[in-house]
Amino acid sequence: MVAFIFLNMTNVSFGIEQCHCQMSHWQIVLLLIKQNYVSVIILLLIASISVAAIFLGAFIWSVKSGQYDDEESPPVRILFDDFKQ
Amino acid sequence: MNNTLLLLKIIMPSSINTSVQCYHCGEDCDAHPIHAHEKFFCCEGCRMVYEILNENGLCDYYNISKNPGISQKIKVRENKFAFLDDGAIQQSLTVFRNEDETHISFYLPQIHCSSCLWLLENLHRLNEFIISCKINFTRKEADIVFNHHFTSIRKIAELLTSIGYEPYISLKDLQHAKPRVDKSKIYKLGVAGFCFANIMLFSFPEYLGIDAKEQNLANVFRYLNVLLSLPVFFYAASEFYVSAWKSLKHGFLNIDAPIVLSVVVTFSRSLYEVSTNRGVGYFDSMSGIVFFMLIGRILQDKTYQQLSFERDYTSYFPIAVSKIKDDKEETVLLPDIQLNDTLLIHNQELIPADGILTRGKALIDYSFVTGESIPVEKEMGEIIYAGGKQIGTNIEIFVIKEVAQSYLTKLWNREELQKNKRNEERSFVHLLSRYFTWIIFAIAILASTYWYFHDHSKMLTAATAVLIVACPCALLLSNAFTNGNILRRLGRNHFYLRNAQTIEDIAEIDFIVFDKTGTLTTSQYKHLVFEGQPLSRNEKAQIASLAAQSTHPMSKAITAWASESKRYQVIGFEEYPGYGIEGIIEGNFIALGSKSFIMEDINEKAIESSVYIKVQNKILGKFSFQNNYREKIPSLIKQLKSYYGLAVLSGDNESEKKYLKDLLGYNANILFHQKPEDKLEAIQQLQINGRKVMMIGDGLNDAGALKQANVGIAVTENSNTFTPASDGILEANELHRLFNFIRLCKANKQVVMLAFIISILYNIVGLFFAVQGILSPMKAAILMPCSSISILLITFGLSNLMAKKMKLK
Repeated sequence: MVAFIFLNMTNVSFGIEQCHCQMSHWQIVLLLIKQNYVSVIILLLIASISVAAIFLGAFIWSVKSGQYDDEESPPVRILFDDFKQ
Repeated sequence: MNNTLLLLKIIMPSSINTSVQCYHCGEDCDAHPIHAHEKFFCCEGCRMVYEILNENGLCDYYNISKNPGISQKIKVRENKFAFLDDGAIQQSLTVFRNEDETHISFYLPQIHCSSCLWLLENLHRLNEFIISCKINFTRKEADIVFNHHFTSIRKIAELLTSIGYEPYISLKDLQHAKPRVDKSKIYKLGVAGFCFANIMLFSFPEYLGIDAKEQNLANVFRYLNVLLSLPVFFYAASEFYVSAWKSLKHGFLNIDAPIVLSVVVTFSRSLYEVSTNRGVGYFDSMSGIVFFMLIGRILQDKTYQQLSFERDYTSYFPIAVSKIKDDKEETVLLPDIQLNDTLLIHNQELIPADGILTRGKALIDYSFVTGESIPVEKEMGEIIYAGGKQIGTNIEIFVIKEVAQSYLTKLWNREELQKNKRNEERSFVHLLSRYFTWIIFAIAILASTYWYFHDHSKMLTAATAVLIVACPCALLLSNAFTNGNILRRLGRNHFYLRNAQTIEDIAEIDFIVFDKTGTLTTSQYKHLVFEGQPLSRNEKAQIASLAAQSTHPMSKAITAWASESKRYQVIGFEEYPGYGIEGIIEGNFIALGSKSFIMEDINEKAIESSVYIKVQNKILGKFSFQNNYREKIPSLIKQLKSYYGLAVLSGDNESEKKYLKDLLGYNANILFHQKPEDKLEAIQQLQINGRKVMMIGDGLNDAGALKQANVGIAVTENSNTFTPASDGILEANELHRLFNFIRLCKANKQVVMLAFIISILYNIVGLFFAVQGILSPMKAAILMPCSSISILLITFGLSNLMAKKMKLK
């Protein structure tokens, strides 16, 4: 998201130049880099959605497997000592 | 410190009141504590449990919580669990079974602390063939896995009983499987939350100003939002569609109708905008609505899993009873009891079916069934009704009616009791929301007609915007959150309500009916007052020796009152059921009994529970058994008197009439000898006269009245034991705070109204933009969560403040 906002600002300053002059080499490079950034954003989107989806799946699985059925005994249970035989 | 006390007790036996606490259960040890292993115990039972734990190295039980044991004063009969050897019963209790293992589940109502948890999860140390034991603390259940080749369900039940955790197995367990807990709302909430958060995030670029040149990227975000909103629209919101459709089929709109309207309109308009490239849509508002409403729903649906408000006779009766066949005792399941069977009823056992007494001395405690505080003595050949508890020796009865046909169960199955109060549609919130819907429609139509004349293009925009932003979410949310919060607070004070609707019902009552035995009074039979000449210690010991020969609770109470440990020998002891006892002690002829027995006047009808003493033909005095009223009841009655009509309906005799008349006032309605049908009819009469009645009772004889009343509250000493079907369960030692509980329920309505007014303000602001057709997605997206969260905080804070004012925990 931050990358995208930054990209917007460069775009604003860019646009004026493009109208009047022919694009010089470094302007072409910047344009190409910007194209790459767009696909990076798409990649970021996919990555973040999948991570969030994994968490959603984990949530649904944990509720389904009954981990939240009894909320009073687990906190007490972890404090029990193991038996020294 | 205990040793010093013991020493003092030897030197000055009767002047120091040394009450030692039992190491196992924490109760007072009365006059004769048992001293073993350098500790004191109140009874043999407690000592035996300690010894079992000690031998197996499980004494950490006592270190985790103080006095964690349950009192073992009442012993459990030896072959009480013989019915667990039956294959069919085992089948219905088994959850899973394979070649070597069996999984079963027991309900152990005595589980109450972390020591119980620790001990039960270490059950395998007491029986090596138990593989594991897992406790669900909230439901008080033990899931036990064991090797069925070497041990059995019966042995496990007996083991649990021997350490103080007797499983409660009732007829109901045989019949139905346990209902599955419904978690679908939680899944929907998870999905809605996931989608809501991501949609909001992906809406930021457009709100913060994406350039028109980057249209491709903006489209990516828009279509992502469409994709993410699909699960919300079709899955998460289905909860509301179903509810609105159900009520629509009955011909009217309920609270979910405006929500459904709002969601559908928002979704369609947003789809239209995105597909025609006109805008970004309102997907974040839509998913936000669904998300917050689901939270409200889940909070309001809080139930108390370990309590049951739906009880019928199958939860009360035991599973099996002993039958005598060809002079042999065998176990028979309750549904299999047939006419003309002879049943053997042991001490402390419930009578499962109507029958005729054929052998033994019958002393039946009907206090739970009819409210009579004195046990009834029955003679051979008399009919004994099902539901009472036998006290004393074993008796045999000849069954004349099957279990389902007995007087008690027929009472329970009466038509009046089958009618279920219509739960849902009675809240004032429903009424308000119905007006809300119509008003919104009106505004939308007004706005579109206005724009029709001024600017066509804005017509649809304005109309749909009105429907999007004017959501009664705030009203419903405030209702849900306040209800949920109040249910929780009341629960912490041991007043458990069945659902949120009950809160409103309680706020509306104007008449309260009390039951007497077990509700206003404790069921303890100890409150004894002696009137007459002062007795010497010798005389007390002699009377105590005579009384100790009888198992009647009155005799036991007299023995305890005398508190002399010396026992003399009694010659010629005779007991006359229903009248009294007599015998010769140390040459004195002593008789204890009713007035007619002692004074030989058969015409006197007992109007009070008193026992007279006669020694050598001289009447020394009498014991009156007064009802032991619960603490602070008089102050409760005083508080209630000024606001509510009061009445007491009791199944007991009239001995308390004067006391209650003084307490409640002379024009209050106090009736005795009330049968269960009488109580029900009394409540019906009040309701016909337009009163809204709350019934407070504890026993089976109140079951009909509890259901008939607008609000039925069951009082119980221990929320784990059986209570009849009711709308709320109140623990007996919190009864005196009833007035504050009712005030809190009234406050609920005020808080909701206040939140509603605030939400109206939000709606006005939103509508201001909507009717002008300038409601941007960003404005909607900000307004909606803002209003929801602020309403949430306000209602939460206010209801907690109210609870504090009522001095509740």
